[in-house]
Amino acid sequence: LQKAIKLLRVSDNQIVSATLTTLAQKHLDDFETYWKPRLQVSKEEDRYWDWEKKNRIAASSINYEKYAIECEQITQGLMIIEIDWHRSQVDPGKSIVYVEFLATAPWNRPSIQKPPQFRGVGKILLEFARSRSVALGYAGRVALHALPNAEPFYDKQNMMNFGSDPDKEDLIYFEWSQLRT
Amino acid sequence: MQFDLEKFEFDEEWLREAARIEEEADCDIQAGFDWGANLGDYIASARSFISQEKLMTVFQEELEGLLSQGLLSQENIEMIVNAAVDAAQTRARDLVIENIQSAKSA
Repeated sequence: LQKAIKLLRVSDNQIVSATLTTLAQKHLDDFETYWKPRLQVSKEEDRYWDWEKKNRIAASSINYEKYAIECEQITQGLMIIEIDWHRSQVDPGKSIVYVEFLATAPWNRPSIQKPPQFRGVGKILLEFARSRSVALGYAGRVALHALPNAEPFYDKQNMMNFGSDPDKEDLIYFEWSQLRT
Repeated sequence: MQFDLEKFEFDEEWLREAARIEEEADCDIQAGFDWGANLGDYIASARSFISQEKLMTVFQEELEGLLSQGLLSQENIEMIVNAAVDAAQTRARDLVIENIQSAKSA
């Protein structure tokens, strides 16, 4: 996948070209080189995530799809989705795209950098998960567990909030139900 | 405002609205469960994790000389203890998460 997209560069309020693409080694290298040093000194809940390991695990099954957004030659967001095993809570039994991991680059996070460098990264990745759900015949159903400081964003997406999930260290489970046509 | 989910194409107006919603939410955008991701807050919230009272006793004994000379006040001792508890909890929480994740996670 190599999809031309746009992001909003906050510093000058300009729309800039970017690419939504399949996760590649370059993105993992960017994570190690640029993301990790900033995350490790932060209080971010994902500061111990290791995308290299996540990539290896995801590579073990065709159920996983891995994506990245690039802009100005740097990785701006990463996402891994699972497309077969998970089922909807809204429509029990119905297949769903489950967002295993989604993260934006440290400089795109208001808790680390204000204002962030780019806006639109998280929203576009999430919408792309929904786009995959439509393509797979899952009618736009998407689910995820939000990290605590991301909950307001998912609430604003009109995702259904199922509350804390004791099986996932009380992370909040969100779900987009079937798209209305 | 146009957004085509099937072709995954959107116009500038849609993007600016998406950016506005992100700005309004004023939070990071992350998702996904990993071992220990949310454990830190749980540990930090456990009142008995590091006993402030015990530390206060130790510090008061150790700094008695400075207290009696008026070089430190009781309030100063409390500030020192609070700082010590915060630092110890943060470090302990990070180590617990690190250990759990290296043992169990992807």
